[in-house]
Amino acid sequence: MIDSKDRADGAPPGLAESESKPESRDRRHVFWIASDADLQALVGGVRRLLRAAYCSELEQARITTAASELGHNIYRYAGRGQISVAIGQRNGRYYCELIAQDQGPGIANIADALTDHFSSGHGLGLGLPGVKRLVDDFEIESEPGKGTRVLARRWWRP
Amino acid sequence: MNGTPAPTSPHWGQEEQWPELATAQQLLSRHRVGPAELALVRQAGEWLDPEMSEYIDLFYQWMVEQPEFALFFNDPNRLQRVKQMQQGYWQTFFAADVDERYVRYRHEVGAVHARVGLGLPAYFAAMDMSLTLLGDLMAKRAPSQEAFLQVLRAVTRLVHIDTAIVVEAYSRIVNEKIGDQARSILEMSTPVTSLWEDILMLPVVGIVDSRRAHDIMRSVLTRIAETRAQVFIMDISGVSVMDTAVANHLVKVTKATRLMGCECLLSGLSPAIAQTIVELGIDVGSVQTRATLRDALEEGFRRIGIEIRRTGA
Repeated sequence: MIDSKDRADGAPPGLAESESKPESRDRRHVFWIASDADLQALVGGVRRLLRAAYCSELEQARITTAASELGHNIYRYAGRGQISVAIGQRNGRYYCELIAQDQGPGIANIADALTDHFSSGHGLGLGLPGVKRLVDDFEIESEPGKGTRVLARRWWRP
Repeated sequence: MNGTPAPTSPHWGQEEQWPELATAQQLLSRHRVGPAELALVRQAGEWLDPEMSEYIDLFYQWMVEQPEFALFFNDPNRLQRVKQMQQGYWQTFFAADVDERYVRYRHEVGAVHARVGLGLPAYFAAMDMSLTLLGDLMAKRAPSQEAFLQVLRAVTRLVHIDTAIVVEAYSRIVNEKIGDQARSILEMSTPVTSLWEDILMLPVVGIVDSRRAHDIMRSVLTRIAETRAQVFIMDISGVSVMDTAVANHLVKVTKATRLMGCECLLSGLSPAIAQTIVELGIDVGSVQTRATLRDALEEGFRRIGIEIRRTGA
C-alpha cells in the first residue's frame, strides 16, 4: 500500500505515477504460473481481489483480461513464472497493479511485440498491445535469454 | 507450488508441466550441507547403529497413540511392514549418500503420504518425534557435548532436506489431484443440446483453454454432422474471461461450424466483455453476435423459417 505521505504535492494519481515502484512486497498476492490450472486460479483470484475493492464489472473485465493475457504469455513463452497482484488506494482512487515476471527466452524486439498483429506464437498477435490499451500504466523490460518483466496498472474510482 | 523456481529453459507448446523436482545438488547447496556435514551424519549413524531397534520401538509406542495413525495402523501386518520400511529409511539416511536415488526415495515417501491421506502436520509431528528420540540416543553415545552438538546440527539439516523433498512431492500430488478435478469438471460441461429441430446450443462456462476449445470443437462438429443442424448458438455469458486466446478459440469454432454448413451465433456478451474485446483490438467482423440467448434464438428461428406467434387473445 502506498502511503499518502509519499505524494505531498497532492497531484492526482494517474499516468504521472508510472515511475512509482511497488513499495512493499508483503501486501502483494503472488500467483505462480506453470499450468493451465494456474491460469484459471489466477483469473479467479484476481477477480475476487477486485470485487473486494468496489471494482465495477467493466474494470473487472479489463483487469482480469489483462492478467489472463500476461499469464498466457508466461505459460506459452517461458513455461513458468509469476504474476504478483497489488491492490491499493491513493487520493480516493483505487489501483490494481499486475507485475508479470518470468525467466524465459525474453523478447528480442519489444517494439515489435507491442505492435498489433505481430505475433511469434499462434495467437492473434494482440496480447501485449491489447494489455497496454486495457490499462493506464504499462512498463516492459526484457532481456533475451534472461526473462521478461511487465508492469500493468489500472486506476478506478469506487 | 515450488517456492524457488530454478532457472529454466523455454518449454514450447507443452500442454502440462510441473516444475521439475529439485536435484540432490540443488537441495544440498540450498540447505548448506557439504561433505563435512554428510560425514557427521555418517558419524551419527555409527553411534546409533546399536540403538536403532530401541528407536523404532519408542517411535511406534508414540505413534500408535496418535489419532491420525490409529486408524491407519489397526492392521498388525501393515504395522510390521511399515516398521521395516522405517528402518530402511533411516539406514539410507545415515548412509548419507545424497544422490538422485536418495531424493527419489524421499519423493516416494511424500507421494505415499499424499495417497493414503496422511496429512503433512502428521508427517511433521512424526519427523519431530524421530529427531527428538534420535537426539536423545545420540547424546548417550556421543563422546563429548561439543561432538554431540555438531552431529545433531548436521542430522537436523539433512532431516530438513528430507522434509523439503516430502513436502514438494506431497504438494505436487495434491496439485495434480486439483488439476484432474478441474479437468473432469470441464470435460463434463460441453453439453451440445438440440434446442429445436436444426438448432443446436452450447452454454460455455468457466475458462476456455486450448484443451477445452478442442473438446468444444469436437463435440459441436460431431453433433452438427449427426443432426444436420443449420444454426449453432454458443452462449458465452458464463465465460470467466475473454482474452485474445479465448477469442481466438471461439473464432475458430465459428469458422469450423460454417465450413460444416451451419451458421454460428454468439450470444451472451455482457457490456463489460464487449467493451473489453474492442479495447483489446480483437476483430470480430465475421462472427455473428447477439446480446442475449433470447435474441440469438429468435434469429435462429428466422433463419430456419419458423415464426413464433401468440395464439388466441
